[in-house]
Amino acid sequence: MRLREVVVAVSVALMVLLLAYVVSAGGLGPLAPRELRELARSYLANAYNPWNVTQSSLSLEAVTAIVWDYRGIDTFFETSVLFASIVGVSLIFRGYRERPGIGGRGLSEIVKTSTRVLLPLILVAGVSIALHGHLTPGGGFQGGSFIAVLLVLATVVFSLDFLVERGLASGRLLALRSAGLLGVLATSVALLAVGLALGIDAYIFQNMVREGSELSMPQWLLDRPTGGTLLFFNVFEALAVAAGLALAFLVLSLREEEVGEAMAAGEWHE
Amino acid sequence: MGRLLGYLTVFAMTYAFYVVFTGATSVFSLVLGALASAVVSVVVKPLVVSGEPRVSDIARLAYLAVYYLYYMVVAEVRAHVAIARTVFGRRMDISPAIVEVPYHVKTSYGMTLVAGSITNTPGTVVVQVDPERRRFYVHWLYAKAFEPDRAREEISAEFERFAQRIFG
Repeated sequence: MRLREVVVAVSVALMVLLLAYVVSAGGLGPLAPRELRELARSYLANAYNPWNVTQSSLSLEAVTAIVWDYRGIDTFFETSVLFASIVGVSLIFRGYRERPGIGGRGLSEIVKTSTRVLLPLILVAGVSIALHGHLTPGGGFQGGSFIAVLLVLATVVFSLDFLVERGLASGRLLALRSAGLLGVLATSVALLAVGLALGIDAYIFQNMVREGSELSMPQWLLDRPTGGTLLFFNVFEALAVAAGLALAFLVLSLREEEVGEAMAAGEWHE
Repeated sequence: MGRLLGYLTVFAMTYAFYVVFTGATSVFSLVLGALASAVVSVVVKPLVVSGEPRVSDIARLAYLAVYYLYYMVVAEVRAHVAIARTVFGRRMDISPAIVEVPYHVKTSYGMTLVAGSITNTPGTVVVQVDPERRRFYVHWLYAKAFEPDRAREEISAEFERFAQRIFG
């Protein structure tokens, strides 16, 4: 028995050691280069570069600058794909509607009370992650997911009625989701609209002053840079993601009384 | 006035958490955080606070501070030492059992404080609560008594004495 344990321990240690050797020798694929590539260097140099604003998004967070500015159109379509999948979910569950007042026991009074105290803290943490997206790691998607977790937690702890009674039924969530996406859209064409109105050249997804366009989003708010469009993108994205993810979870947690009629109708058609 | 104080209480809790969570020092973070906390506390206040704050609540806060110190310094350490002795010792002198523990606090916050204190102390875990009969079902690693009142004396009487004064 003792010998067996020793053999197992030694062979596990040996496996880890050999695996580490293989990985560090490049046996499982090429290793990342030690020095930064040209592209990475230019992003790092330009993400926050007040001396050369035409190349910069004035964001202290290079990842957010890349995600929402340098490749903003990409991210816009990503957000649209998430939106399409939420539309798909609500299409599959069409005809089902939340009915308040069914009641649900939820979890015990202990969990309910602790959750009640936690709700404002989780909510403000999610909002702060979205607001600081251009300053620290995080952003709209992460903050929105935080807030969605809060809604999921409330559904599990208090029952679905909790959300429905507070006006967060699926219709309202879809409206919030659309409002968030429209906000993202509006932010991406804001400078273009201003440019058209004033007769100045401008681009879609324009953030700061660019070559051939004098227009710029606000660069500073109080004592920190805003990253121009980034702050707006993060806030609207947080709204869209929170409402979207919560909606997907909500329709999955519909109760038998709510899906019963629509199920019966479906069986008729078959 | 009283209602406003209720909102301010929730705001203070939320904003204090925000400042610690973000480690904010910039005016940007502090101002936006205050705005966000204000919105959050307006939305959430009815869930968190019932009734109106009174001047006598300061005494309750003081009890809470004393309780926190007592719990962290005395109760927790005592329980941790007992568990550590079992984990590292050679003798398994445990007698695990689930016992009934009645409680007498009236508010849900008081009940949650007692239940949380029991669970957070190593060796005892609240596994179920029966609000109608006002009883916890507690898994107890060193069950010394099975009669509900004697078990309460051993497990939660001290916690409840404070919870009664803090939350009623």
